[in-house]
Amino acid sequence: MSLAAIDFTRVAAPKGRLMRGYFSASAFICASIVGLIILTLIGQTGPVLSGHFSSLWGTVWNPNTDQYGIIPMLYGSIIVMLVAMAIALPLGVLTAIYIAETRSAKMRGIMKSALEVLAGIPSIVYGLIGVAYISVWVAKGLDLQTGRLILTAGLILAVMILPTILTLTEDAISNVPEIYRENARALGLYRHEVIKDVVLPHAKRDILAAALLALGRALGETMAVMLVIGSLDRLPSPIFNLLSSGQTITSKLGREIGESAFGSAHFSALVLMGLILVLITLALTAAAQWLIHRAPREANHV
Amino acid sequence: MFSRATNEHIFAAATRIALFISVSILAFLLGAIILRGIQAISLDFLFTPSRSFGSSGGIAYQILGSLLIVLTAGIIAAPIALGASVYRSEYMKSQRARRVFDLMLYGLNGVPSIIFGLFGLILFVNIFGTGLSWFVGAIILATMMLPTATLATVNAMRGIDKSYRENAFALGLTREQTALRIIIPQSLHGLVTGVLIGLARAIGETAPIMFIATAFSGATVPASLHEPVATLPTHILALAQQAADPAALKNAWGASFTLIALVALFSLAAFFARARLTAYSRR
Amino acid sequence: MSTAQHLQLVTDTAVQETSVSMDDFGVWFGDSCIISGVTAKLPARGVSVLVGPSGAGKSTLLRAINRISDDTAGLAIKGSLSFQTEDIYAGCCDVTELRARIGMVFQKPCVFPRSIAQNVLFGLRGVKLTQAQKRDIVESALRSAALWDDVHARLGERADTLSLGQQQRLCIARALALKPDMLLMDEPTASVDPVSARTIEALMRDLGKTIPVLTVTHNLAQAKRVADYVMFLCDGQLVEAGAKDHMFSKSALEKTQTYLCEEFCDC
Ligand SMILES: Nc1ncnc2c1ncn2[C@@H]1O[C@H](COP(=O)(O)OP(=O)(O)OP(=O)(O)O)[C@@H](O)[C@H]1O
Ligand SMILES: [Mg+2]
Repeated sequence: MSLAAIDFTRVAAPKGRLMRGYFSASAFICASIVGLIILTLIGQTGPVLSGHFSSLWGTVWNPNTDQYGIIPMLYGSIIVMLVAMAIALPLGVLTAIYIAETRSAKMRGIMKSALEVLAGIPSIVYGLIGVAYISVWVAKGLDLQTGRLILTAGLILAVMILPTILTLTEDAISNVPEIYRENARALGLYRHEVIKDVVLPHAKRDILAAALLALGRALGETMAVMLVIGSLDRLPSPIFNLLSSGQTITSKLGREIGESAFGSAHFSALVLMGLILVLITLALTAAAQWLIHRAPREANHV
Repeated sequence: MFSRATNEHIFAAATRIALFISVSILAFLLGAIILRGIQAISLDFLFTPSRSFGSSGGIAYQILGSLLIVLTAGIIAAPIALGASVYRSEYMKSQRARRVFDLMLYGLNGVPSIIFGLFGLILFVNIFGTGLSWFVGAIILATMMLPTATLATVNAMRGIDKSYRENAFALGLTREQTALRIIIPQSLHGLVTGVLIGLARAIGETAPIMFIATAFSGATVPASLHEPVATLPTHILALAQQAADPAALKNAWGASFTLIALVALFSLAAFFARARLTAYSRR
Repeated sequence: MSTAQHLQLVTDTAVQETSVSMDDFGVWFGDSCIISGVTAKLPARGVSVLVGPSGAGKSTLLRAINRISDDTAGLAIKGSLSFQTEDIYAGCCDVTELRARIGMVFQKPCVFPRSIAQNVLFGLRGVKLTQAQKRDIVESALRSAALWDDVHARLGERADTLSLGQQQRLCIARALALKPDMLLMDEPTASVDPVSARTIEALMRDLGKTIPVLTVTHNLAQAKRVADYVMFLCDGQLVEAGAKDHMFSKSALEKTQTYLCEEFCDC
């Protein structure tokens, strides 16, 4: 057979164009979903924004009287998140310091795999644990009627975000080059001084990013919170009373979306809360990414 | 203030106490789930349908429904993730475009799961009028899996040596042919791993599907795309709300254990896929 | 190694007091023996240079003297090592205090991302100092590290804006601010330019007049310039130690001659 018999023309262009179309369409889908979600939500906020705007910034939520005050839910989301962070952040950072600084590879390995398992536990299971154990313990321990409180929700959230904080902080601390510790130690610094003055300042940006990620998770967590917070649409009194029932944006959505009629002011008020939540978490994500990707430190002294 | 040496002791004690608390929490969680789960679980439990709103009987249809919904989601997500990562790593030239693309994915990854439920409820169930449908649930879970799957594939593509591309171009292959013959085969392990990790996460999700794809009781094998199914997470939710009833609580633990076993199965599969396929695509 | 050789060092220095004395000293990492059977005494003043091929264990030996490797997994110490009559591997030794007393400079300069002045004062802990005292300490430390003239106008600037050679001198100043009883240097000139290297060499000579300086180098010309005493380490064993003149020209050992004399003639 001679070479002349072979057709050397290149594979037809249309097939290439088809592939290209597929690649770019997929990329477009990936990149546009966030926008689509936001637009879809915005599209449903009309009824409450036009009809009941003034009641939104009140503290009363009562669809029967057309009052849609979202302040109790906003407050609930924030206070629960603060409780969770106040517990999980110091606990996670101190534990991460212990694990990273003892430099025992074996312990690190065990901890890391345990944390990976924990991070894989679905949030509904945390909710079950909250219902079956934590709320019962809180009620018994504090001698209360019910254990479904802001405090309980904060506790279960703290447990949920602990693995995130712990893993990321541990990575951040382990990534601080050993040479910094060595130099500090050679100057006669105690271990805690090395950590406080050298390691943590060096890792602080990554730790902050970890905290922001955890914060986003805490704000967006639905199932576990919904099961243990008690679903009370009022501001606690006094305002910092953690031993009162409450409501977060997510638990509110989880409880009431199914009960509200599509297109009603009630539904639209719920969507508005969802929209606020998305915007907050997007801002947190953007901030965390910015922290992680900011121009690397001057390489010159490493 | 204390002396330096005292501070050192205080600090050491604080980290030890923190470690002790963290480890206790870990141990308690794992212990509770495993112990309560094992007491509740049996072959019978896994293979019989639930009765009287789940407080007796098993979880056969819930397992089936969960698997159906997430596997379908995986099948929807995989090609999109693949195409998008090819576009991201082979067509996007500017660093800026890539950063924006990544940021969109990270943003999507950070969107709270309940919002996906709300999104699906508005767009599909109401505007498109699909009604409760397991297939809509699968689409929504697929969108949730996209960031994980895409980023894993992009990472694998980033690992491909530049010389492959240069050689392919030098041989006169077009960009599409290069993608098809070189880039995709060499990054499949990333896609498979990413999708499996996505599945492990998706199967535990409750909030995105509870308004749009599931029925709390009575759902069996769906006959069409427009029917709801029962799933494990929504089943656990229903049972957790009747936690005062010991029988319901027991079944909730059993269902949780099964769910976590499925999560672990997908995670392990991801782990092995990474090991095996990485070796394969390096050949 | 015979007793005669290490006695030589002792007689050569016509022993005033000794700074560091090692007796059958050895270091193990897990199952591998890095250093064994080192017996030597370092004089209380002057520059001692530790030479030897790569992997001989020079850094390991140096780092054993201020116990900086303590946290390394699998580290085991044999024999004894005393600093100013105190056995530093005995239970009662305060490691943190020991490290503050023995300054150390590493191969790569590593300044902390703070101001120059803060870097100098970094190791001063647990003492209350007035602003004026701090200023004095910073000035005298920077002067003894030959850095004052370069930086006195910009003490508040971040230290990582300095050149590498300046950073290395800042590391020396940082160690000197603690008024150490000894200075250890692990290839301090390896990552700086020749001019800075000369400055640092002059610095070593200066410091050697008041405190013992132990430095590691691969540059035999440099060793010849700065050394009062030379220790030759090979495969974790101390081959020979003695005054510079003896080591570079009169050594009876073939190994020493090959490494120090012939190699040196080559370059
Ligand atoms: N942490 C450690 N664990 C195990 N072995 C080690 C460790 N640190 C060093 N070693 C080994 O000890 C030996 C001596 O290392 P050392 O760094 O002391 O050599 P050196 O003489 O300073 O060499 P160089 O001149 O290249 O700096 C080497 O074989 C090295 O592999
Ligand atoms: Mg060395």
